[in-house]
Amino acid sequence: MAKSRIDPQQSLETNTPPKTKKSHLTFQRIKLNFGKFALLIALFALAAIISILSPYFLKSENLINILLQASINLIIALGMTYVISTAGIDLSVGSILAVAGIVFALLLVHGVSLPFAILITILSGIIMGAINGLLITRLNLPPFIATLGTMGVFRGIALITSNGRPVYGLPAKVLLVISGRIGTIPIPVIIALFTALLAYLVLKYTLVGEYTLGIGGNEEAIRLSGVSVKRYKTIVYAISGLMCAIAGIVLTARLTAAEPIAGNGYELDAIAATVIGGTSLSGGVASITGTVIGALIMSVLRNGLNLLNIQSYYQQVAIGVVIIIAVAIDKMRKA
Amino acid sequence: MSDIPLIEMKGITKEFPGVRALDKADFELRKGEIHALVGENGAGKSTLMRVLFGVYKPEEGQIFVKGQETTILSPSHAQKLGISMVHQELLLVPSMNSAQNIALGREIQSIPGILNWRSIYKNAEENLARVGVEIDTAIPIKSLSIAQQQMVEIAKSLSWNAEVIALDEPTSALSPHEVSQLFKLLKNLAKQGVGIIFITHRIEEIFEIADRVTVFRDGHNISTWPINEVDIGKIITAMVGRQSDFISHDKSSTVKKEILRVEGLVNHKLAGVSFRAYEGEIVGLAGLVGAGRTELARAIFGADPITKGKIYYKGNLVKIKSPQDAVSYGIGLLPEDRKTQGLVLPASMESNLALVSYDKLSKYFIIKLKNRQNLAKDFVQSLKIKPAQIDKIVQFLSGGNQQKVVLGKWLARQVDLYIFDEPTRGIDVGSKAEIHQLMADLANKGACLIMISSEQAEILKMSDRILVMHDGKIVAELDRREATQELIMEYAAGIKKPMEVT
Repeated sequence: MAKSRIDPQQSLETNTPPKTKKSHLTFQRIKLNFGKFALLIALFALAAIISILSPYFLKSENLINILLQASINLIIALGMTYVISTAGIDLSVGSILAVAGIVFALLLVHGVSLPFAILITILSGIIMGAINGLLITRLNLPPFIATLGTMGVFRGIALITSNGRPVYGLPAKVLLVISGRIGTIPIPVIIALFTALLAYLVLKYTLVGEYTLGIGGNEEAIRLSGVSVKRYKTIVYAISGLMCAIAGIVLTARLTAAEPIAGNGYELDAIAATVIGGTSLSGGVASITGTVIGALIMSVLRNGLNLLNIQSYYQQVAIGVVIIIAVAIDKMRKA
Repeated sequence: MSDIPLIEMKGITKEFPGVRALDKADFELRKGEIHALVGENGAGKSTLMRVLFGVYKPEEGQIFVKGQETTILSPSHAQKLGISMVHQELLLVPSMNSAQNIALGREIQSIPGILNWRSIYKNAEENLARVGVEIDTAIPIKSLSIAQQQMVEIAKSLSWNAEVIALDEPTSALSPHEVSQLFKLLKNLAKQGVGIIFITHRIEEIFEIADRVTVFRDGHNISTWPINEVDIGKIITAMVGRQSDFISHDKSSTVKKEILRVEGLVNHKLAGVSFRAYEGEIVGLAGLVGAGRTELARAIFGADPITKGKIYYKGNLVKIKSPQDAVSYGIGLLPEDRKTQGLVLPASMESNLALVSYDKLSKYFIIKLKNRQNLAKDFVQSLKIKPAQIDKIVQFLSGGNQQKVVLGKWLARQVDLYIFDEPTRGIDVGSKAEIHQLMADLANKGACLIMISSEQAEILKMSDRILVMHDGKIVAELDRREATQELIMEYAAGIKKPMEVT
């Protein structure tokens, strides 16, 4: 969403444009904000409808459950938002998550301490993401192809290292640090929101964020400005890998086991949350808050359909329809 | 000639955010005439044609097609009305052959859905014959020369029964022989009653081809003359609206330091280029499109690889392997196409202006937002960029203001060698003058500027020294005092024997 490019502190008063221009600009700003408001309104409208149909929906336990359900998808979608805003795509997220989960579980099973296991797992995620980035920048592969390939490769690695079987026998008590609760709030939710905050800050205040959007907006202009596009693109895919590793750790801690087939199809959920959130597939504009809301909309929808006892087959239809509507509205707004 | 004009446009006004591209413009085209439309870049010619072709809807004004007031809704509507346009960038499908392209959108079908290839080819050959070219209809468009592609485009217009054909700079990519062929064809079509609008930058041409000429400036028509009542001087004065002036910058004769020395540069488009450039001077790079000027600029800047040759920067041999290297040495490139190479369009002015200055504007990857805002504000003010809002997305700026943003990006870094590739292409007269002044100021302050321009007048106006390129080589070095448009052209076209240049 274009809004994220505009500094709210940069108020109109700093400049003194003629009056007509000002009203024109305010209008423009409302229009820019509209997308994000529309998204929030959609989220609340959805929640309102479901809460009328099922009173259980608004129970705090259920609301917390929605957040918990959204957390894994949100973490992955944050990385995906970076990737997509460079006009790229990462299909390998689910496979990276699986490898990271297996790595994490195997380390713990072999008695490695939790902090060290987390560190190694996160490193493995960054390396897998960087491999994607290098394939794309050094071999000039289209992101779709490169990550389609590594999707298979990483999935295979997860299956090979685990012999195709789940890794059990993790120290459940230790893992409560990740999967437990602080008060009533599940720690995965806190991790997800903290990651989102970090993603927001990096996008807005660092060179990585600036060049991510720049590469998506016009890669050639960035290159001709003396920026190493290859380096920053690789960083972006490494960030996506990092996010998948975090998601893998959280998922493994919650299940106290690591499945080599975990994360299958997660790439589609992550892309959906990102796109619903208003990040453009053609690159150059990204919205972290949009992605957060996007992940929540998907989670609310799934939860609501469950509460209403609607067969899970229909959920797929519903999510698909939401994606189409969200992007169609975005297109119409821009036209 | 009948009394009712084929096309009459009255009081057409078209605004874009920040610019009034057309301001109460009038235009008239009669049956069977070739009407030349001239004017500087940004004068409104192309916009007028897009209005006529239904691409843009004007805010004000009326269009009469054969005396009937008409609202042209879309390009396909325009085509139904018999108006067709041959664009500068040809709109053909490169992988399809000429018959497929001519039929495109109106394929002849035996029964609905089934193509009647025999009729499609027959129709294509008939229309190509009307154009008077022999093209194998089975060959894909991409294997044809530009001239042949143009002919196919014209044949396509004829197959639509076009009565009005507008050609936007049709000769810019043609050889002299191809140009004369095109002119023969156009005259022939005019004889058959087709009205032809001929947009060109090559003023000399219009005396050969046009019946009337209309000059555009600042979004409206200045005057229209029958061709035999006008001369080049009159047209140029009408185009620029003033005597063309020379921007002077200080030419102190003290020995100047060498900034750039290029020796025997070779790559896919360069065949051994050597030259020097000094501080405080503007070196103009003249030549025809495809002579290798842009490629030379990109090679020096590290944007394209070089296979052979040496580059010395401030006396030291340097290896520039990427734009990154070039920027770190203090070289800036204002690329040929600001939209695809110079700007991040969906980003703000602030982001774009800061793009090459992050060594000053960031620490440990964190952007110093306050400093960045100040820098952007400074340049928006000093370059008079409008609107003066640093959070404005550059996509919504006019061409001139966009170009100022690209310029400001490099000024912010204060480099010592600026390479300007077509710095004023497609921007309004006012911004153009401002950019020229800025360039002169930079040279006065001791910077070295290399300027590529396809506009002869700009080369002559701005340069201290002029290097002419032809076929990947520098074929002439001319002092500003001895250079004339004719002399440059003779070297650029390869008519005159190359001189020794070091």
